[in-house]
Amino acid sequence: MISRELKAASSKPMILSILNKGESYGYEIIQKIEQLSGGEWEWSEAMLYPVLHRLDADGLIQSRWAILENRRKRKYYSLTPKGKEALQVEKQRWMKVHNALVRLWGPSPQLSFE
Amino acid sequence: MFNLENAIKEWRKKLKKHPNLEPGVIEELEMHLFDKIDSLKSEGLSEEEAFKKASEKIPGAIDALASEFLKAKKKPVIKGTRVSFWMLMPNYYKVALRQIYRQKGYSMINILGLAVGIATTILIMMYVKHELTYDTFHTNSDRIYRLVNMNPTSGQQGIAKVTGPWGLTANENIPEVENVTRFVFFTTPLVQRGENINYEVSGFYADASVFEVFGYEMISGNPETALVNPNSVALTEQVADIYFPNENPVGKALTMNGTEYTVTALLKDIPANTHISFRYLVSMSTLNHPDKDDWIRWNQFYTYLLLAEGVSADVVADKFQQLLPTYIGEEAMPRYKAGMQLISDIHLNSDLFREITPNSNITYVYAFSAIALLILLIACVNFTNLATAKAMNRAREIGIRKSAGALRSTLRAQFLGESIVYTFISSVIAIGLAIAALSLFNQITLQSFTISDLLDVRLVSWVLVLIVLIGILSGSYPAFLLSGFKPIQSLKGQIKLSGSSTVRGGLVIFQFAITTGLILATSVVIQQLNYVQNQDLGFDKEQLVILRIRDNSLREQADTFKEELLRNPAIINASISANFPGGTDYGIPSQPEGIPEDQRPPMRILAVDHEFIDTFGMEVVQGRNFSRNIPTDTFGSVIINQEAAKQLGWENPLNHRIAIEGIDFGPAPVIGVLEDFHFRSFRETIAPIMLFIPTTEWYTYYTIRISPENVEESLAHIQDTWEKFDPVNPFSSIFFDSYYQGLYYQEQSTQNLLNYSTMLAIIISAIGLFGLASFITEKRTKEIGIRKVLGASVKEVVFMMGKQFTKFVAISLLIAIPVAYFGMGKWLESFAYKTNINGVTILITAASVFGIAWISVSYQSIKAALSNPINSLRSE
Repeated sequence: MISRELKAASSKPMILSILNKGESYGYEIIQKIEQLSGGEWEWSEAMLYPVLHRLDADGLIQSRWAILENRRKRKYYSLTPKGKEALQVEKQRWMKVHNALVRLWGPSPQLSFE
Repeated sequence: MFNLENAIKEWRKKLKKHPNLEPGVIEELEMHLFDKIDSLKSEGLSEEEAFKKASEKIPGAIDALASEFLKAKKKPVIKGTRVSFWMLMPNYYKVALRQIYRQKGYSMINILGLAVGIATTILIMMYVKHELTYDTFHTNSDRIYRLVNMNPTSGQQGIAKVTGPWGLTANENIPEVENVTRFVFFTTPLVQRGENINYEVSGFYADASVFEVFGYEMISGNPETALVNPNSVALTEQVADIYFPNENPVGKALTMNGTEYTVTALLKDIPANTHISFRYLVSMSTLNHPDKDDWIRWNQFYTYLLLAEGVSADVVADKFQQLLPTYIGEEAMPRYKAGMQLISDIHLNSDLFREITPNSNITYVYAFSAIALLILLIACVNFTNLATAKAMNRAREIGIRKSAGALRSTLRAQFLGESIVYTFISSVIAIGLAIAALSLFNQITLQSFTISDLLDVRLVSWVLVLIVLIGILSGSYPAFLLSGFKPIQSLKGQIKLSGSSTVRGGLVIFQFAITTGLILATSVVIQQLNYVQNQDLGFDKEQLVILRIRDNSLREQADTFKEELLRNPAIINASISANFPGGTDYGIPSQPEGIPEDQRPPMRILAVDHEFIDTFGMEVVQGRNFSRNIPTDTFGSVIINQEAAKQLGWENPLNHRIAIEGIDFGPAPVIGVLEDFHFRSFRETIAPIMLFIPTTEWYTYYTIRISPENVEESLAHIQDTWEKFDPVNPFSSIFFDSYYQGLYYQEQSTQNLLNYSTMLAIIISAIGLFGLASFITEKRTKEIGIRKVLGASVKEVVFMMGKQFTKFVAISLLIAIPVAYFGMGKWLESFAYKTNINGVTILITAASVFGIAWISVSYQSIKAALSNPINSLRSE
């Protein structure tokens, strides 16, 4: 299981990255995250939607209502240019964390404490 | 059976209840639910199972969801006061309207009180504007001056009329004078065209230059030639409409007093705000009075000079003064002093003898402006008081606004804005009220304003300024007070308004001081007018009918006419005369024997007949009345009043003689002394006057005393007799007392306006006090309940509630009475014969103010005191 805090921290880069691959909607995003994590990350609606709206309000993503063939409506989200920039920043930050951890855990003599 | 539609509807309802979920979000979540159900169904679950599984997390997560949304929501950024103030405008507006709606009673009191105050102010402002704009509409109003004689010996400020040559000579000999025009009364002629016969008032002879000097609007005719030829007449539309309906009168004939005149011009009606309001003008060349070119004898010309630009009127007056001796001789000079009055100053600043129309006085304009302001202040005080009193109820709102980041200045702006909203609503009602009250206002002020006067652009823009000012004035204290609340205390409900009740008390005192002052002022004015109207005039003014002689036959057959009249026993007496008391007396220089010229008092003249003194009921205190048995009494003897005897210094006037050289009269012996009588308004002291019997052509009026019974019948008899002697001219008559009352026209209209203003002031203050009392009573309901439980009687409770207000009213009386006493004393000084402000008036005023205050307060407190304490104590 992945902790709630970690989920919250990673939600922004996760959503931005998914949307970077193309337009999507709430239900689909949750599905995708579940697939990506092999079913380990179970995202609740209560986590996703507020973040989506927050990103929308910040201007990182944009939304539109579409009407489907079965006359249902669906709200689609997509990245804005500002969102793409934000994604780059997020990527660099996460990579820094990632690299640091990899170095710590890998066979590096300088950093060995034994 | 499970129904997905209904299940989702229920589910949606649950979400909707949550305050932090916006409709868009709910819809998005609903679609999410559908997707989830679809996918679960494809896994083989039934619709019901799919719904349960899909929705089980969501409702449980509603709170979490909502709180996440709240967290994620952007906090509003406060970028300085101004931005957030304008951002919150719609909210302020909404809150203001809710306040009005929720507290209908108080709002009604506030808005109506203010509306009545504003309406009064609008009407009075219109009146003041009318007064201030007199004679400003002429093209050259800044250069037109009236040439008058500031006669230093007349006992008056001066005389508004001069003799004919004055104006003409000034125009010829003084280069600074560009033009001159003169007016002479054209006394009420009988005008006739076809079947249409009427007496037409308000006509003047006027010089041909009248249209060059004044900017009267001519619809048809040639301004340069219209009044050149004799028997030309220029009609205003209102007269033209009578005789020439739907046709252009120019070039047509009109009969006036049997002579044929040609209409040479059609004029627009003269605006009401002029002191020379005429309905038609006759060419001056028509006038053929033997003395029209005399320098001394016939001062009947209202003379207007048009000065060159930039010329000082004083210089022109001086130059004219230096010209005078050449024409009138040095010996007459003490009686003449040329004066110049700017035309636009005449209405408010001129109080000469023989004004064309009675003028107003700038003091009245100030007084009415002050009254308007006071009434408005009373209304503003109501607003401030109620708003402050109700401040407690707004404490929580203020606490929340402050916690949410509202600045003090923002709150102040909000509450000021609120009072401007109130004022605006009141103003709209006020304009309606003003329009509705217009005809009443006209009756009060004896004017004829129209709606277009009321909706005049300048006036309306003034009203707009006024709205903002009133809003600020009445809203600023509550705004200051409310915005100072501490958020924590106000949310806890611990606000104490200790300071504000002192201010409220002060305002109530202020309000009642104004009301008291107005009541006292009004009662003094009423007393003075009653005093004047019921004063012993020295003769009996009731039951006197006055006829104006139209045809010479009535002058020549005076004795037979009188005999005919007296045949009816209801006719008590009849007299023919040239003039009568009330302002038609003449001022011809007379020469009392043995008194040097420079010591002669100015002497007034009444030219009468043998029956005059009896008809008017005057009393001869020394010597005798004129007698038909003594032929020399006709144009050969004189009766003077006591004042004349006194001023002449004659111990026994019967030993002296008086001449009137100007008319070759006398020197004639004084045969009697009359008890002093008032022959002018009570503003003037009784002056020396002499009566004599003139030659027949002097006579102008009949004065007939009738018995108080069967007035109609007596009038019918007089009319029948008139028609026997003068079948041509229609009969018309006036009662002397109504004529005499006209001398107090200005006072009458002042009194009317004061009466109504005072009434309004009383009503508005009473409304305010009523509102305040009901609020305070409401606050103290529990206290009253407890007191009653502990055994207090109704009387005690009412007394307790009234105590505070009684104190306020007492203080306001102490302030107002001395001020009003002093002010009204000053006003009374302008009367020669005056009442005094007595203790009774003051007592009555004080009692009525107390009465009004008590009535407004006690209704509420009696209601509270009578109510069952259980109800008040059980509530909450």
